[in-house]
Amino acid sequence: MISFAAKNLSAERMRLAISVGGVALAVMLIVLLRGLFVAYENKVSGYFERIPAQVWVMQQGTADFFHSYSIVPDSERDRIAGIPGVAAVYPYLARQVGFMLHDQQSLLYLVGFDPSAPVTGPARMVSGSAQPSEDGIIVDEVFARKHGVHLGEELVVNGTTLHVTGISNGGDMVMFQYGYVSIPTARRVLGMPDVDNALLVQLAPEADARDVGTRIAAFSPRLLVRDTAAVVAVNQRVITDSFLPVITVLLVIGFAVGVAVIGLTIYSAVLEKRREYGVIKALGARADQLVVVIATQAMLAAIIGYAVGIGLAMAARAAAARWVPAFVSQIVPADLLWIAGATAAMAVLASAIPLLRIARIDPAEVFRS
Amino acid sequence: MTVLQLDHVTKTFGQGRTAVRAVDDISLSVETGELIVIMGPSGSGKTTLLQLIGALLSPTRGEIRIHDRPLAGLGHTELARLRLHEIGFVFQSFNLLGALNAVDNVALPAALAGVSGRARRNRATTLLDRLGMAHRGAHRPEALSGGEKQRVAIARALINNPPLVLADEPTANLDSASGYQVLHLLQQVAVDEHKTIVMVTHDHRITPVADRLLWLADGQLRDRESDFATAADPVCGMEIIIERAAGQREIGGTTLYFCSQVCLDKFDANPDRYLPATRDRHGR
Repeated sequence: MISFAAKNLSAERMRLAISVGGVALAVMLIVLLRGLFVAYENKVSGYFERIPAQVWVMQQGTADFFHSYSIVPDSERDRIAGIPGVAAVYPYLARQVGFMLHDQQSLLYLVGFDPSAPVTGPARMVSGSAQPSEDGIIVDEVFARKHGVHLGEELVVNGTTLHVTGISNGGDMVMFQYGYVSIPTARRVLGMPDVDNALLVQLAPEADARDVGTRIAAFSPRLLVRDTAAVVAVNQRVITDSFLPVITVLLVIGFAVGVAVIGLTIYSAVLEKRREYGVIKALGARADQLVVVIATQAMLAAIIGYAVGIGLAMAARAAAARWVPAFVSQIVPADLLWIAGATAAMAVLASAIPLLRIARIDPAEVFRS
Repeated sequence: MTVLQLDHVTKTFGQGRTAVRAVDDISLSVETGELIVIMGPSGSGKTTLLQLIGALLSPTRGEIRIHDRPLAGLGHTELARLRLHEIGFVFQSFNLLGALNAVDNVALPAALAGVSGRARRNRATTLLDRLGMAHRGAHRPEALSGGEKQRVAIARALINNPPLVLADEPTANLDSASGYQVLHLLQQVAVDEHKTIVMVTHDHRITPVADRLLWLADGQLRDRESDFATAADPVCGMEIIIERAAGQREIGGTTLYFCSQVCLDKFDANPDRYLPATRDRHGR
């Protein structure tokens, strides 16, 4: 019956193409949306995960770095450095800045870093120098592509002219990208001569993060101490809280579209071949054999649609990387597995209505000419 | 040996004043190897009777037995199994599946019966060969003529080697030559393979091949010769009950009867076209 189902499905190329095309588009939508969510999540957390500090010291009451503003006096740095178990303390200076570029409003998340100890610096350089001069800035490649920025170009930020001396990657936060300047330049541009946004603490080899954190917290009630995992989680929540419900709704819509397309094409095929199914019933087909015929057709459409959909998603992702750099999508094997399962579920659900229709076909009808 | 037994079978559609008794108290016994032809005008209950025998309808009253096994009380699955193994169907409109070639169409009931792919294809090819269709095995129904389609359908009816073959107007959609070929094939199947064939038709050409000819009118089975005066419509060839003819014409001392006003109008428009055939057929 599987071979009959396959022949039945392939006999009508246009219907097969519509069915496969619908599933493929649904799968592509699901893959890209899920990939978008994963990419957002990873991009937001990636920067914080890369920073080689175990403990973050912020102003009490700070939620995440995107929605709240933390101010810590830079003078606290020396005092914290003296706490047992602390190996080094680095300033974290980072703030979103808006400026005009090519007659358009642009955003950068400007970060100060020490080129000689680049704890908060760029992940990887794409071109140019990783050591920005006093008026130099390194911008993320997504920002550079989006705004057509090249090495040597001038950016005027908060009245300070900065020259693009390097282009890096790994600093795309989706809504904005990172730009890196030296700490003195950051203090000047951001107007923060003696305060930092946070202090990054590297622990001595034998030190326990919780003990050190407790000591720092006891040091001043105005300070909030978190380990890196907590910082990552809090900043990831920015994405999960704002995007996950939207993405989930879109994923459900994609799934429903897939079910509807397979279901409608198989259902219309059943309506059109109602007499043939009546013949099969009259000849002596059991109900389970008809289930196999319909489910196989739906499953074949789903499998081919899944393969085509993954291919389309990969192609769309590659095209987006070239033409729409702000669109990011990260496809991970585990997601492909559950999407395959979801596609199979589409086929199973889509089989239900055609099967109900077949159950109502009276085999005695085939005697009518 | 009795293959098929009908005891006072009645089938009524609808209820109360709208009830229609399509099959009315029919009793019939058919032996192995018999070729029974049941004739009757449109609406006489022929197809309903075949659907009852084919386990596709259940009687309102009475009992049907195939190989002495009563159909009453069998569930859907058992009835499906019975149709698959005990009954072969040949339909008026062939009912081949468009997506399958001739071999796969023939092999379909064997697939439903769980016969392995190679075995059922071999069996289908052998059957097609016997029916002179080996060279058309790879063709889909759309590429076959009416006669070829019906031969494929006969092969399909035989693939599970059922003892009983039911044929519903097997020649109705065929030209004269193809119709005769199909008739003789069915006759050959009955004789060579000891199959019991029950055929319903209103095609008078079929009568010579029948071992037994029965007449169905108003749902009742009668002996045609004694109970009804019939004649063939000279236009369409349909066997009709004279007393129910839509009209008649006297031509050269012969009375011609017509099944409907359509045939009557056709005859009136060009009597010469139909007269020779009428004379040849009846020798009058």
